[in-house]
Amino acid sequence: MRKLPMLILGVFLGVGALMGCKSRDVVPEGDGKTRLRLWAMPNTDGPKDVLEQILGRFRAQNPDIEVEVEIIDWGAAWDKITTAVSSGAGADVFQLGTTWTSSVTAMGGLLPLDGLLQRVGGDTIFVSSARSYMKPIYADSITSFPWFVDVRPMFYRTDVLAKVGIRPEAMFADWDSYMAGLRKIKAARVTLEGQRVEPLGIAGKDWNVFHNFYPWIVGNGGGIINDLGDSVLLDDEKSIQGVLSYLRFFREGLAPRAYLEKGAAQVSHEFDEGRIAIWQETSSKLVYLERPVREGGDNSPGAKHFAAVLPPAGPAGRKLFIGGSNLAIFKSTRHREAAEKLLAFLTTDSVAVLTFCKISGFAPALEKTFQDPYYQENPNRVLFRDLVLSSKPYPAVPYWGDIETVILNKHFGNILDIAAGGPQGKGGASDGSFSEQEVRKELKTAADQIRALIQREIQSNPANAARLAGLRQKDDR
Amino acid sequence: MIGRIWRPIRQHRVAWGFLLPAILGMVLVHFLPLVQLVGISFLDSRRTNLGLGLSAPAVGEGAGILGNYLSIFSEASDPFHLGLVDAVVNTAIFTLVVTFASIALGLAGALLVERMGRWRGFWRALLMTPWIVPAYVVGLIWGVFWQQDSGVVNNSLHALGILGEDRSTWPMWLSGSLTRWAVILPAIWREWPYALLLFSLGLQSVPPGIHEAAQLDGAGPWTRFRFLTVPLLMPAGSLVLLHGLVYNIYSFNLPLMLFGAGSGNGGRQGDLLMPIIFRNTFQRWDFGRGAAATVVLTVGMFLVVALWYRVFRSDLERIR
Repeated sequence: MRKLPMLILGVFLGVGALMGCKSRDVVPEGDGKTRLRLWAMPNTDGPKDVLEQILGRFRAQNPDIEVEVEIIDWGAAWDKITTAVSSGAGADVFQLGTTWTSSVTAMGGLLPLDGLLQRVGGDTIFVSSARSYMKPIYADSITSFPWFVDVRPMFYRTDVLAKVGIRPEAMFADWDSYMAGLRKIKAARVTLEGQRVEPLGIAGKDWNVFHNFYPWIVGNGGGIINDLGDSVLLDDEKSIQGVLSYLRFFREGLAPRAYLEKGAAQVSHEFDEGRIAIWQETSSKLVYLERPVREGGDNSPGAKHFAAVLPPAGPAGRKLFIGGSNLAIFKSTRHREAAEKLLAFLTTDSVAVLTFCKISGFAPALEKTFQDPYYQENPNRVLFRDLVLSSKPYPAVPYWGDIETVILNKHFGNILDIAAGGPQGKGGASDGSFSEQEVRKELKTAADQIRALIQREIQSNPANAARLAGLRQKDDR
Repeated sequence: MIGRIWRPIRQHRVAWGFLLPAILGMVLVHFLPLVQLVGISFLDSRRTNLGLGLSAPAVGEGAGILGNYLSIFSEASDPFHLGLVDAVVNTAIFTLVVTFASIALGLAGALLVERMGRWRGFWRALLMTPWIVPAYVVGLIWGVFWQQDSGVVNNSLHALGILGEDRSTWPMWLSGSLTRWAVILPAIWREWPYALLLFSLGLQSVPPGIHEAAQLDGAGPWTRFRFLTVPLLMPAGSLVLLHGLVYNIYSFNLPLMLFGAGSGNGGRQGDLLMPIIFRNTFQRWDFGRGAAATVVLTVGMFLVVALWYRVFRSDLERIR
C-alpha cells in the first residue's frame, strides 16, 4: 500500500516536470537581435557543428541576426515540414529534398523568392540541372534555391582494371563498352588480397531502388513521365529496353544476386572490403574514401585502390540521377528580410557553399564554385561538374512523390524479386534467368497506375489543369 | 431512463469521483481520436489540401460519401489499392501462422520448463530474451540473418549439410517466394516466449493434486494433458490467442525494418497491411483513404475480438 502514494507523487512530479519544460518553439528576443530558426537534415557527420562553422561568417556579417540551428532526422523531416506548412508554426529557413519541393510548394506554405533571385543574379548562377525544382511545374513563383546536389559517380578498383588490362576511359565510355568490361572482369576471375572480386555491386530493394534503374531508362531514350508530367512514358519500348538492359547485370551474373538482399550501405561496404570492382554511389563517398588513415580513414582495399569516373553513356546520351536539397522559407516567417539573407548566404555565398560541399562531399549547385581548385585539380572531383550537367531531374510535379513512393518503388522492387528468381519469375533460377514477360507486365501495370494517378490529380485540381493547358500551348510554340 | 443511470452514480459518487479522471482520459485519448478517424474517412483530405485540416471537403459527389472506402477496394488504379489484396492475404497468413506457432511452442516450452526443477526460473528468464528485444531491432537483426551469402541462416544450413557448397544456389529469403517466411519466422522467434510466460503462469496455478489423482485413476500422460492440462490452461491460452491476433494483424515495426534497411518494401509475398496503410497515409498524405482503411481494419479487429469472446466466454467466466 505504501507504493500507491509514491506512485501518485511520481505521476504529479512527472506531469509537473513536463509542464515546466520550456517550449522549443519559444525563442527569446530580449537583446534586440532577430532570431532565425534553421531546420536542416543530417547531411554530414556532426551536422550541427558543421552548420555552426559555416554560419560563423554569416554572424560576423550580420551581427543583428542570430541563427538557431535545429537538426531534424530525414525520417521525420517530411512530417515536420508538411505539418509546419499547414499549421504555420515552423522554422524560418529550412532544407527540403528536391523531389519534395513541388509537393510542398503546392501546399502553399512557401514564401515566393522571385525578388531575392533577381537580387542575387538570376537563376543562371545555379547549374542548369538544379534549377527545375526552384519553380515547380504548377507554381507561379520561385519557392526555393538549390543548396547542394546529390550526383553519383562510379567508383572502380584501379588495381582490378589494371590486372585485367582494361583502360577505364574505354570501359566507361558507353553501355556496350561497359558491359564488355564487366564481362572481361568476370571471365578473369580476379582474386586480389586473398579475395575473389566480383565485377559489379548493385543494391536491392532499399530507398534507392528506383534511382538505380532511372539512368538506364532515360539513358535509353525512355522515361517515366514527360517533362510536363502529364503523360506516361514508362511502358514505351525504349523504357522497357532500358530496364531490361539494367537487369542484364543479374541475368549474366555480372552483379551477384545475393546483393539484391542488401541495402546500399552494405554493398558500399563490400566495395570497401575489396569484394567488388565497380560500385555507384553518391559523391559523398569520396570524403570517406579520401580520408587519410591518420585522420581515421579506412585502410581497406577499396580505399587504397579506387578512382571515380563518369557513368557510361547510353544510346540517348549520359543521363543520370540527380537528387539533393533546396532551401526555402516558410510563408509564416516573421523575419522575411533576415530569412532571405540567411538563405542567400547559404546558397549563393561561394565560401559557404564550398565549405559545406567539402565537408559533406555533395556537389555544389552554385555554378561558380566549380571554378575552385578543389574541383579543378583533384582527378576524382574534376568530373563533378560533368556529373551535374549530365543529370536529368525528375519532373517537378507535386505528385512525383506519390509516383515514386507508392508506385515505382513497389513495382521496381517486384522487378528485382523477378530478377532474384521470385514468385513471378516462372523461369527464376540460380542461373540468373527470369521471365522478360513478367518484367513487361510489371512495367505496364505501373504505367497504368501512374496514368490513372495523373488523371485524377489533374482532374481534381482545375487550377492545375488550366496551368497545364497554358504550358502545353507554350511547348507547342 | 436518466434516473436509472444517475442513481447508481449518486450512490457510489466517491468511487465515480476516483474513476472520473480515468474516464476523461479514455475519452480524450481513445474515444475522441476514434471519432475523428471516422470523420476523416469521409473527407477528401490529401496532400493538396493539407492546410485545411479537418475543414477539408467531404468526398466528391460522384463517388458519394463512401468514396474513400469504395476507391480503396474497387478502383484498381487507386494507389491505395495497390498491393492491398496481397497485403490482406499476407497479413492473414502471417497472423494465423505466427499466433498458432507461438501458442504451440509456448505451450511446449512451458511444459518443458516446468520440469526443470529449481532451474526453471533461470530457463524461463533466458527464453524470454527475444521478447524483450524491440520489434524494430528484431527486424534489423533478421534482415542481416537472412542474407543469402553471409547470413547466419544459410550458413547454418550449410554447416548442417542441408545446403551445398555453391553459394549462388542458396535460397534468397528477402526476395521472392520465401519472403513470407522471412517475416513469419522472426515474428515467431520474438513472440513465443510471451506465450511461454503466460502458459507457465497457468501451469503454476494448476493444483498438483489433480494430476496425482488422475494418475491414480489410471490416466496416462496424453490423457492427462488432453483432459486436464489443456482445459485448465484454456484461460491463459485464450489470452495468448487474443494478444497474438491483435498484435500480429497490427504488425508494423518488424516488416518495416526487415526489408531494405527500413524502406519496408516486402514485395508481393512480404508486404503487410500496416506498412501499406502507413506508406499511403503518411508518405503520400492521403489522410481520407488512410482513415477509411484504418476504420475498416478496426472494424475487422472488433469482429475478430467479438468472435474470440464468443468462443472463449465460458473459459473467461471460469476465471471470475
